[in-house]
Amino acid sequence: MGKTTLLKLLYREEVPDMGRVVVGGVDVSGVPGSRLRRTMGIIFQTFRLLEKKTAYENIAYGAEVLAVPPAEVRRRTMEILELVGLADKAHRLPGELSGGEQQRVAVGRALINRPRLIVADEPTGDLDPENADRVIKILDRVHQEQKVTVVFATHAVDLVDRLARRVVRLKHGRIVDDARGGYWGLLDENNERESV
Amino acid sequence: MKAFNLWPVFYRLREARQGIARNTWASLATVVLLTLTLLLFGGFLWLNANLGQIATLLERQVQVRVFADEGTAADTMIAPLQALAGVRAVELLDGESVYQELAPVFGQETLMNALPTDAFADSLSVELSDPERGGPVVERIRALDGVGDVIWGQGFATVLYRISNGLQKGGFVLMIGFFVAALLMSLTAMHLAVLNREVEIQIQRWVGVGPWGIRAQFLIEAFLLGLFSSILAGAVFLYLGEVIQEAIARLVPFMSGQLKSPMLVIGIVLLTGPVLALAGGGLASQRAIGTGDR
Repeated sequence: MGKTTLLKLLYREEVPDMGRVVVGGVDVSGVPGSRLRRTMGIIFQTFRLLEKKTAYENIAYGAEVLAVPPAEVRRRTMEILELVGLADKAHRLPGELSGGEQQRVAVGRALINRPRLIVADEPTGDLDPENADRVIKILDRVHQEQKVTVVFATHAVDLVDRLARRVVRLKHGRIVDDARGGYWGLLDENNERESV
Repeated sequence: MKAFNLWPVFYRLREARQGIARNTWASLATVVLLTLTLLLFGGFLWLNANLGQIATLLERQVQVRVFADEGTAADTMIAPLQALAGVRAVELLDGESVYQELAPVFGQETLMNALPTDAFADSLSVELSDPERGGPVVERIRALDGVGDVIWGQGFATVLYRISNGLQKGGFVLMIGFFVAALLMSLTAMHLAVLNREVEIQIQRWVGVGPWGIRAQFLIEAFLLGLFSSILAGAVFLYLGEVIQEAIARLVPFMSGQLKSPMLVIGIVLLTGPVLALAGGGLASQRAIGTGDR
């Protein structure tokens, strides 16, 4: 089982053949997928934006489809545009935005319904270091200020290390490490740094 | 008491309208094809309904009409006619009832001005066992004592009767065919609409919209397309129905009063369009979205 599969199990895109998936203390097998996902924000490596909708509309779309009243959608979207630093580009189409900006729109869309958990699968995989850093800073800010749990899968070891948070290392589908303090710290604990 | 929130309904309607507008050409093609299919379906429905009437009229024509000689009462001919081989039934038609039958066709006033009420003599309607081989039987009827005139439409009426019967049976098959075609058409159009919005469907799933919430947009869209198509087809029928009825009144006056009004067909077409489109939309979204809330 890889990182992506593990995340898919969290938001019920996949169901386990055996065992249980527990999110926030609740066994997700008994919860309808749609109800479960309403508590989450999901971000992917590819941005998956609607090409014919502006940045504002892409973010708002996440709430509109859940029939959130228009005034509330407007208020939340404006707040999020500020948070992701795109207030001045709200009316641009995805094609008119850089890769980093598009990913920030995708992050905004994941935040629109005030999730308690953000699941991000390689959110910086397609970004240059500067944009990757910006996206991570937004997620970190949301985590700090709104107390939202962020689970993200990545190969970017340096990024993980800089955040110095809880790191779970998977190897051949099994958890081999689960500790705080960044990636290199984790390896130091196990005297593995030399071998990497 | 909490007020009922209509916003989700407005939102779905707005999205469906935008979905139709965004895919202008595909939507237009769907409406045109659905309208044409509904026209063919409704056309055959109308034809079929009227063929029943025409067949009844023609059935009378394939029967043999026998008039008694002067001085012979028509009812005395019933027994000798019934005794003939090849005769299935004999019915006495009194002149008064024939007059009354013609009144709705030509109009009571016209008929009264043209003919006295006793203008028609009593006659006998003879039903043959096998109208297609009725020649020798008609000859035997002519040879009977007391028989005056014998009227038999023979070839023309028999052929028409055969055609109308065939059309009635074939029309039903064609009607079913057009019905299935309309369903497939709407299924294909909605399948394309679903494929076109794959990313939207994915996003809706990720933010927690349930399968019926996602499907609602496609069903509303399909319903609207079906409704446009059936209104268009209904309008064409309304116009053509009048034109056809006027033409028939001019060309075949005795048929004009016998044709069924297209209103029932228009009603059926108005219902069929949205139902077919909904069925197509439902099937297409079922394949793409499923029903389980995984």
